[in-house]
Amino acid sequence: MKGFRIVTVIYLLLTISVASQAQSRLKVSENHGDVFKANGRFMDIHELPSGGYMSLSASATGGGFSIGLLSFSKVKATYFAQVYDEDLNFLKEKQVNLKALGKDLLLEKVVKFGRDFYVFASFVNEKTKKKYLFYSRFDHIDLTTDGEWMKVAEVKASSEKDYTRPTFSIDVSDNQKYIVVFGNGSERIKRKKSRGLFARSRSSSNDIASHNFKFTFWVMDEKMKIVNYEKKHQLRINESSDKFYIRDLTVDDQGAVYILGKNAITDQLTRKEVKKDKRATWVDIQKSAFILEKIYPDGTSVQTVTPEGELFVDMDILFDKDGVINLVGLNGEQVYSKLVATGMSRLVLDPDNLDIILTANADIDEDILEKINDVQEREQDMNKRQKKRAKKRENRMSDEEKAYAEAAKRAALNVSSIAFSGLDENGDAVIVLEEQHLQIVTTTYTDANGNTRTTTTYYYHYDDLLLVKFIEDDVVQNYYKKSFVSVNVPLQKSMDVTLGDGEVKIMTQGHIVRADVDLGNVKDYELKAFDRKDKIPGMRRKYFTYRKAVDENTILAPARFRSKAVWYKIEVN
Amino acid sequence: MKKILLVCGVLASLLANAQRDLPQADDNLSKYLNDGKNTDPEGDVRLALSSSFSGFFEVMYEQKLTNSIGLEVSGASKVWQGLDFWDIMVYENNYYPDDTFSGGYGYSGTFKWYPNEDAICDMAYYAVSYRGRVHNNNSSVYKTNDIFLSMGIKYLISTSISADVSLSMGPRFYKYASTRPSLVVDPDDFYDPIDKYKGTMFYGGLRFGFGYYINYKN
Repeated sequence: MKGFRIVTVIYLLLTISVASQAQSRLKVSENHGDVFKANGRFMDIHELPSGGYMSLSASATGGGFSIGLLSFSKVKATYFAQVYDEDLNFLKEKQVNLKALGKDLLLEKVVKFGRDFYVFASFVNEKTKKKYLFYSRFDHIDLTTDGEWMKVAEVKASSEKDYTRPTFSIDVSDNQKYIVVFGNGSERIKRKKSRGLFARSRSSSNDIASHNFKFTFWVMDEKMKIVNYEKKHQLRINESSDKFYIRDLTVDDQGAVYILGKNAITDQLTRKEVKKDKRATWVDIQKSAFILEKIYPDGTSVQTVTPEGELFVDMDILFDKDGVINLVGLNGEQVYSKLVATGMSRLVLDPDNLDIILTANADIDEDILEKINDVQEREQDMNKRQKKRAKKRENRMSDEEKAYAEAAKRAALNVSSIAFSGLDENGDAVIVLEEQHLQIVTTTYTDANGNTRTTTTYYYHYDDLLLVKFIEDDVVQNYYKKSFVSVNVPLQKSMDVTLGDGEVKIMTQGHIVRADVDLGNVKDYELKAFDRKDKIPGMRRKYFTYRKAVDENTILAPARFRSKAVWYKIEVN
Repeated sequence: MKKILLVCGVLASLLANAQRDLPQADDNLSKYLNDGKNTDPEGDVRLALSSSFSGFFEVMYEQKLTNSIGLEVSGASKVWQGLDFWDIMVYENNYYPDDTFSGGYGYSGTFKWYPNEDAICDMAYYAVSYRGRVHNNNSSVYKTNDIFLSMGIKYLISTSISADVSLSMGPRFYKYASTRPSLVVDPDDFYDPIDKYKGTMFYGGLRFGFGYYINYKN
């Protein structure tokens, strides 16, 4: 009997142990296709309706030679499409011909719209000084353009040095019924002339000049007919001279365009702060507001401004299944002329009149700040002597410095934008913030002959994540500690986030992170694919430069080594 | 009353739509792609400036055969003595005796491959060429036959003006014959100087020229 009891206790203990182990583990499958020779750098990948995948890559082709100081070369962008089966085994590759009437078009984007794929390509006409956007249907079986090229949009293009480059951005509505094209023409970069100490004339470019204040948009329906259009649209508030620059643009399921703008004055002030401008106009930071404008297909529009008194560092627009608008924001707190991120908010707006239906906001949780706030982390690690020194330093601070140091303890110091925002299937808004900062290290070496050499290294830090979920008017938070540094080259994309089954799944550099429905439990999994020891036959080394979440559970990422490539399929079960 | 208001609303909406000047997609590509540049030529007539250094006035013509293949032919006439780089610098005047050539002619044929399917404009190409040249005066004839591979680049430098620059290398087959007594080494062969100086040497050079793109469709 006694033996039976012992066995039962051991069995129960084992069961509990296995259960807790299973709970703390995240099931992730990592599979890859065949190694193949690929042309160029991968730009995009799409799931095909017939099964399998199609990727697109861009390469610079041409040639050149040099004789002494004489150098001759000619290169141009060429594009390739690759097809894979469902397991990402390579099937075929073909160069995508983007030539029309002897002119080379530049690939902008391939989008899946309805049941078809469309390729958008542009051309800068130096004679008319315009950049044109064309589209054509794309046959994903033959990997060729199918049908004629049609011109759909145009913006002003200037090749002069002091002008910005013209750009197009293409987006599809959630219900796949509308395509919107936003065009930004070349704008003159305003340079401020300033006088130096010895009265030398200097000019410096103004960051504000690179913001987009005016843009043109075209909305097309399923038949590619333009149903909404406005030229050189500018965000303005009645009876105000404030200028708003475009922060986010999107199209809803009815073809209406939403433009989210940020008051430019805030950025001007922070820039002046960097330049230690003593002008006492920091009170203007109170204008750190966002404006949302909705332009209906009939040309009429409605506008709303974020609540007075609330300061926003960043904001995103989201739509739920019923078209209800969600504005998720990163709230700031003003400390003299600085704005630090201390909270998050969600505004739910009526899609018809943009009236606020629901507001939810919260400061960053104190327990989380203890873990992710650099100031608090440093204080925790201090010994007695260091604390004493810090106290002395604090006493010497000016009022402004003291106020900033105090606010810094309550802020996500290295967060200045929303890294991800989305709505899950329950309509709950999720935002992910990532601590990012740039460290510049300049080192001077002196050799035995006394010659000095200076090198500058840029360390791009991608640190802790802060996860926030708005469930109705409640706000839940959690964090994930990580540290990643990219030397000299910033990451194109630091993470991918998917939402499904109420959970948040994040792929960072080498890890999959999953947070459950109320963010109470955050688990992670170290990806073997990113481990240097994980070798693939036929590839000596491998590195990842691109990845894409194709659905809420699947992320595709190509590993490259020289011209060889292999696609990984990472699935979170 | 409500119905009247509704109808008015619908009418106002329709009117607003009707008044909006919405652009439409356009398939008239030439209107947007015509930048005045002849980027799709079928022929290229070119003056080979590099040939003038060796004493020739050379005119070339290149015809587009497919999107990646062009065929080039040329004709040249000797107009001055010129300089022979390989003879002076490398072979120290020993592959043909000190002689001057006032006349002569040349011809060539080149097969060009444009890997990016940009024949025959504004892109890099690879080529294989045959070039024959005859230098003569009253008593001597010096012939060269060059077969060489080239890597070249074509530029469109204005609306239709082209530039072509290429780096070539290959074997040169040469032959020299003369009836001048002072230049004939073996007096016994005075009247039969053929094959006295012949052989193979290395040829390499930078070729360049300017041309004009022709589009027969326009």
